Amino acid sequence: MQTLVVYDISNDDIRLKISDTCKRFGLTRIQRSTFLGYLTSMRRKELITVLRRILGDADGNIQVFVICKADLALREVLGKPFEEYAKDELIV
Amino acid sequence: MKRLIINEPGLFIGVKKEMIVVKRKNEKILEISPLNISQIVILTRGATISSALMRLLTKYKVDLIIYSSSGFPIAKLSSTRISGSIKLRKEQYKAQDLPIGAYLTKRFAWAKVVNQKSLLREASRNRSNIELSKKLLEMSKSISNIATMIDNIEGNNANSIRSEVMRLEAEAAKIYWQGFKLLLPEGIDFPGRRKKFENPEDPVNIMLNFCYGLLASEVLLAIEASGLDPFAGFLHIDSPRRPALVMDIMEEFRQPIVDRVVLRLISSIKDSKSIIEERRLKRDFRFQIVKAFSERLSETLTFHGRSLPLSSHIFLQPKRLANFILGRENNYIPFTLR
Repeated sequence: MQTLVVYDISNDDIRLKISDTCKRFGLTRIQRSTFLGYLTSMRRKELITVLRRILGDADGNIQVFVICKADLALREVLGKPFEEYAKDELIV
Repeated sequence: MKRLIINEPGLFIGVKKEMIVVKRKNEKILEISPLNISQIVILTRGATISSALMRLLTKYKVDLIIYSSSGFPIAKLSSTRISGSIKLRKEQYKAQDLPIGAYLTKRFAWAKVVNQKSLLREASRNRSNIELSKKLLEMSKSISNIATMIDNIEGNNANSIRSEVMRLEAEAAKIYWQGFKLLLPEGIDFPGRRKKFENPEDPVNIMLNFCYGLLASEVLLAIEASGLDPFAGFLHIDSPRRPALVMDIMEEFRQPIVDRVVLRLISSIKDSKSIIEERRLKRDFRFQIVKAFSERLSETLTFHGRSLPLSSHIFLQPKRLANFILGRENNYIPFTLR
């Protein structure tokens, strides 16, 4: 299922770790503190466990949403997209 | 299906924080999660790979394939933690000497011939030149007759009918390549089909051989995933050098994938001599072929009542074959476009 991760964290080190983890799980950055991508429910649980461990008792808030395909199709994007979605073929 | 294609010498592919990183002279040019790709393809000679990358790829079941300059897969990295499919393999070896072996031999050859027929027939509909389209239609009809003849051969095992099937297949191929020649744009010379060991010098044959190599690796991966032994074939004779079952299943996909890609690409080339040097494709063109080939694999087609990308159909065929060999299916339906 498409998973949306949104976070608000003031500590720079923790925030960096959170974004690295999201990237490692194959999510795409769509805004500065927002990641979106496909995860199986197992991978999602794993991600939540890792995020919980990184956040610990620190100040901040992380929210993980599950969005179905139909709902995601209703998404409207205004302005310039933050980062382009990775293409199908990656050639270097 | 996303793949990372490495086509530039001097690149380093390594790992940082469980992410695949591609560097050009210490400058990071790409960073991607192993979950987001399913294959790394190495076309160039001069790339560097770290052992950490190999560990990461086996963990996430990403294939790493190295191609020779003629497009044939020469190395593949895979995890040692594979599961054994002993029962299936035993049945596969046994099937070679049973009537179902003969049945499969006919099926693979039949599929190839039928696909040859449909490519010519489709082309004959699209040509504005009436003379040409008539000729192509006639050719497709005679190939169609050969398909029926293949279907009617009788035998109790793969060995007993192989030579007869091969003879008919060669007959169909002769007509088909004559037809194929008519489809090429003017100014492209095609002396007839030449295989890789015949060292062809014309661009069309070199392109075809390169693409068949790409297709072989695709089929090989699908066969390995299904648990079948890629070296024990039906239509093709067992050989320690050549994966016979890969060649068998490839027959179903030659025309729908490779021949079409080559026909499409060749029409965009102005000077056919500019794409080859010393009987090999030039680097940037090699790269265009891989791209066109992958694009074709992601095109959706309906077969067996399912509308899926071609790459998924390739993946499913060995599974269907395995189910048939194990007796879970009553027949094996090869991939054909009609």
